[in-house]
Formats: sequence, structure tokens, C-alpha cells
Amino acid sequence: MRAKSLSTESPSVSKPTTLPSGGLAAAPEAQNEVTDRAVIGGAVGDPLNRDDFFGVDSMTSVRQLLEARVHLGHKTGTWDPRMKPYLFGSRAGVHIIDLDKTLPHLRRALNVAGHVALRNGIILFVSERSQFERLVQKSARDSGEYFVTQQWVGGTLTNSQMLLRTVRLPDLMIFLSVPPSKTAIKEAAMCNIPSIGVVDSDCNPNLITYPIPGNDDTPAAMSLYCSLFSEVISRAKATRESRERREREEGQYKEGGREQSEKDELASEHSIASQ
Amino acid sequence: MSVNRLLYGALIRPRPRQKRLECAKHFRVLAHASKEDSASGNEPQSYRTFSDLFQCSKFSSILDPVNQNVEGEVLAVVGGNMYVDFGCKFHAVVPVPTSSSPGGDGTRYEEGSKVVVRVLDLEMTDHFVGDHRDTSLLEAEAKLVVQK
Repeated sequence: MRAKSLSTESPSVSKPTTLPSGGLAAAPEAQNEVTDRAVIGGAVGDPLNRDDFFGVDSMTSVRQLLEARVHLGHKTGTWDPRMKPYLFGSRAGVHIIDLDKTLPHLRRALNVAGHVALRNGIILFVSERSQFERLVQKSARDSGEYFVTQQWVGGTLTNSQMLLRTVRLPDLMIFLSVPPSKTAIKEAAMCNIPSIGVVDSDCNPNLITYPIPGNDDTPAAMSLYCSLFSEVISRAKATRESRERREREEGQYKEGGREQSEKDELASEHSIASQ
Repeated sequence: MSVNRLLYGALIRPRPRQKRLECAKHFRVLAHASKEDSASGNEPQSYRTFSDLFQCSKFSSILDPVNQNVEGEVLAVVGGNMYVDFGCKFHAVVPVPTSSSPGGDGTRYEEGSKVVVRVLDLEMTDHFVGDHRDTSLLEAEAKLVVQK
């Protein structure tokens, strides 16, 4: 687990950085204190400044993708010409997807999912294929996120106030198979929600923010995508929890210091009472 | 009857190290072989890019699986049909032989059984007039080969 080892880094090694807006390390007490912010930022390190914060590179390889049959596309007659840049060629009347191009796309998408999960974002798994319903539901539940595995009801996002009585929309949508109706993708684009989508040789990748060219019909390939996304989200959540725990401990330590200087008696009483 | 195995081992394994070394000794290219071996564990260096891996894959070596006998695995048996995965993109739906049909020798087919099928089509697609591209049934076509 690389994410865990990264978080135990000493403050002297990494340079102090300012926190991103909405960063989890920005505790309410520390917001007004520039020095504290810098120290916390330095101790934690901005995950966005790291290329491979979640250890995604070691999770994926071309060989693994090939063995999961990610390279097998549809028959040449069913293709969407917009997928041409991602295709390797055709063999036996079937398009072959270039996994050398899939791999960076997949890693980027996994990183996006991880960073969204790290910042407490809501992730929605979408798959309208009935044969993968259980698989998608299981991976969403394993990572503690949400799913839509039935046919997409038009207006779920654009008319969420009426349909769901909520204004909170997902922060990231993962389309594990791009549906032919494309309603969900259009709605995600209209609502400015970033989307990750597995696009096969017969799909249109245009409206998807982070497309992953790959096979979306074979169970082996689908379970690979599901396990990768589930794993990276779980890693991000584990990192967030350990960071929050450490912040709580640091906060308690700080309150102990105030008690000694007798600046804030109420806070010290509170910390003693909570202990 | 030759049966192709697309299903297991997408890649053709490189020859065992021992054999390769023997071979190399024979042709006096030992230095080259040892360099290749030390590249990354047991894998030769040439296995890195997709085009190299694809050339070593079973799918690529068969050239065209259509009209060939391939080994498959039964994914599910539903209402007199079995869903057979033979290592390509789609599964094929094959009727379970009844006692009166040829091959109905009382063999029990259940999830996980190994069968041999003759591939007829990798994906059932056709073009409809007025459509700008082919429509797919998202299914392969295959025929059960009765083992003698």
C-alpha cells in the first residue's frame, strides 16, 4: 500500500505547500494561522502534486489488460469512426483496441477517481447492462459509493429537484459501459459533472471527460475495471481516514498546549471532558 | 481433431528458461540469451509493448477463429440453452443437446463444464437498409461439437 507509506512522511522532506480550496487538511482552527497551514501542508503534502499518489501504476499493466481481453473491439462494421485514434487495427473482422493508448487513459481515470474520493466527493457508478448489474452493485458497495444499474430515467440529474428531492449531485460519474441511449452522458455533461467512461469501438467518446478505450462486453474486462476503481476509491478513503485521525490527534495536542498557557480555558475543559 | 485453446492463457508462453539456454548454447549466442533473460524476471524485453504482446497472443496466432474448433466453458445453463465462453469478446448461446438429438448421450452440462464448439461467427451483426452502420446482437454464434 503506497498511499499509506506516503502519509507517514516527515515534514522536513517535502516542501510546504498551500492547501487547495476545500482541502481536507484545512481544519477550521488552522485556517487563520498561516504557519500552521504551511506545516500541515508540508506534513501531508499536496496529493495533487504527486503523479502517482494512489499507486495506480503498479496496479495496471498492458499484460493484465490483454489477459482480461480489453483489446477486443466490435466487428469492423459497427465501429464509430471517432474511435479511430484508439484503434490498433483489425484482425478477423474485429477491431483491436491499442492497449498502449488504453493504459495511460485508464491510469488517468483511476487517479481522477481516487482524488475525487479523497476530497469526499460522491461517485456514481452507471451501467445499464443487466448482465453486469450484480458486479457493478458489488463494486460500488465495496467502495462505499453509489450506483445506477437500471435504465437511466431521463431527468435524474437535470430535474433532480423534482425527481429525487435533492440538489446534491454526484461529483464524478463512472460509466462502466456507455449506454446506446447516451441520456445519462448528456445529462452529466449538461450538469458539468466530470465523467469516466469505458468506450468500445462502437461508442462515441466525445462527451466523456475521461474516456477509457476498451472492451465493455466481456465479463473478465468488466470485473477488471470494477475491481480497479473499487480498489483505488478504497485506498483514497483509507488515506483520508488516516489523515483525519492524525488531524484530530494534532488538534488535541494543540489544545493541550493552550491549556498550559492558560489562554483558552473553555477549550481545555472541553478537551478534558471529551477524553 | 484439433482443438484450439483461446480461453486459457491469452499469451503463448515463452519457452522455458532451461530449454532456451540449451538452445542458445547450441547456437553460441549465450550472451544474447542471458541479456534477454535478465531484462525483467522471466519475461524477455520484447514483451513490453502491446504490439509485441498481441503478436504472442493466441488470438493473433489462430488468425481467424471462424470455422475452427475451440474449447469453451459453460457460463450458465438457462432454459435448454447454454452460454459458452470460448475466449473471445462475446459468449455463444448453444442449445443443450436433448436425448433425441445427435450428441444427446446423457452428458450433463452445468456451469463450468468444458465443451468444444465450432465458431461460426464472432459477433452476429448485420446491416439494415438506411442505417449508417451495422447492428449487433452482442452475441457470438457457435455450434456444439460432439466429442467422440
